[in-house]
Amino acid sequence: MKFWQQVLALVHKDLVLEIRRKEIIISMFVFALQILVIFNYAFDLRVENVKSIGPGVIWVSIFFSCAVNVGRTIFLEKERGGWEGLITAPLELGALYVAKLIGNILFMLFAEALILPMFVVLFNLQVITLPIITVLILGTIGFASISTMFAGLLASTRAREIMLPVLIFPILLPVTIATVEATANHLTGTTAMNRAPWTGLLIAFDALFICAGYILFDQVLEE
Amino acid sequence: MAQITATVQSTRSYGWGDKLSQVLAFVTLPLMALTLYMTLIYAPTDATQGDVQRIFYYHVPTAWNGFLAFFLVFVASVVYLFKSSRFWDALARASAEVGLVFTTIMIITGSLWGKPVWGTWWSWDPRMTTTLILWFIYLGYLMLRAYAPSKQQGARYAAVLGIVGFVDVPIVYMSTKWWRTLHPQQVVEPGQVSMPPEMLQAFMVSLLAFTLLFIWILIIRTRIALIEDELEIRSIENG
Repeated sequence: MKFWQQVLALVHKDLVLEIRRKEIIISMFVFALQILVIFNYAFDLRVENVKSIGPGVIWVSIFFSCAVNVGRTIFLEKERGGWEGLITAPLELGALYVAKLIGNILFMLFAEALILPMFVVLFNLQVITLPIITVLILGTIGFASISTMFAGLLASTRAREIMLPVLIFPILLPVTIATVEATANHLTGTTAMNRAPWTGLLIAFDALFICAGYILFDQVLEE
Repeated sequence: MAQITATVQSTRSYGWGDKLSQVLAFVTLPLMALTLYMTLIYAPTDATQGDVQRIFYYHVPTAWNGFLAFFLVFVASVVYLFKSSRFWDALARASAEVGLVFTTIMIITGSLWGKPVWGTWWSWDPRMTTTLILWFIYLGYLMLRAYAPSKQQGARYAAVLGIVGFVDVPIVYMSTKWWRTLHPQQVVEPGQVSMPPEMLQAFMVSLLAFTLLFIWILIIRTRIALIEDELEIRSIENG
């Protein structure tokens, strides 16, 4: 099979699995929703301060819930023995990385599509605009590129569920800063003068770490 | 016990490290004593900051060596992924550990210095944030090795993290710098003011002493790592 045929077959498999069991997206959504509620009480969000705190709240809730759940596309397979099958199958390991990456991006985007309207309702702050959606997609790709690589790496280690956030949060700091600041800029309408090139930073991050993941994934999986 | 002795005997092949570390011990220890004299007595007291400025002589050399250590982890990781030789893995492991210790000292001394000079233990300035993130990445690096199912896999995983973590550093620095432009800037930059020659001399001696200390500890730790590997291989061979 050609590279993209392999990728498509793997993505298709993951999507079918997720449509049947609905585990990953639902837990991402519920977890994020709970964090939103907790933040509301922790920060006492009101009309006056929601614009300054809101961007952080929405991104922390998305990043936390995804960090806890995103590895499960690989960990669940590991638990049921499917992961060894995938590694030994006559696949390009790069294709396996790209497929898992696409799957994770799709799951995250789906969960975010559920959580953003909830944020709008609960905090009365319109965040569903084209610039913010663009930032959201770029941030999600960056997040998924790192977390997919590290989920593959952690598949057979102990304490993998907790090690994934521990390893990815420091590396993802630029994505966190860029998404929060870009969202805040769009909400407060900061003039272009004060705007750092956050979108450019996100694109660079995404490109760099997708390449790194693609190159390093077979090193990670070599037994 | 006999097995351990045999292993240590066999690692005499790492004799280069033995010789070198003896030489380094003879050079480094007197130099450390000299550093104490140079930095605490010889160097003049800073006019504006007072004695607290002397932290500079310890803070900057540990910082430089911490970064050097993480750069070595990166280099050793790349070579390990290409060559899979135990030496490069041992070097990466040793360098990460020693680097983490130096970075911890850097963060603590920086914090102690920041309180009287800036009035705060911590400011989220780009260099400090990048250092903290590095500290987290290499702490995760050591945890990852500890949790790996086998030493070989741990070495491989850690090498990947060693590369990714290092590649990430410039991006972390840029993002925190840009983030900082929207927030109040630090006005006082320590060490930016031109130094009198005595201060510079004290600093150079301290820098040399800490760098030699780093290399010395690194060699010892690398040898221990190689001996640990050897022991593990032997215990597997002997069932």
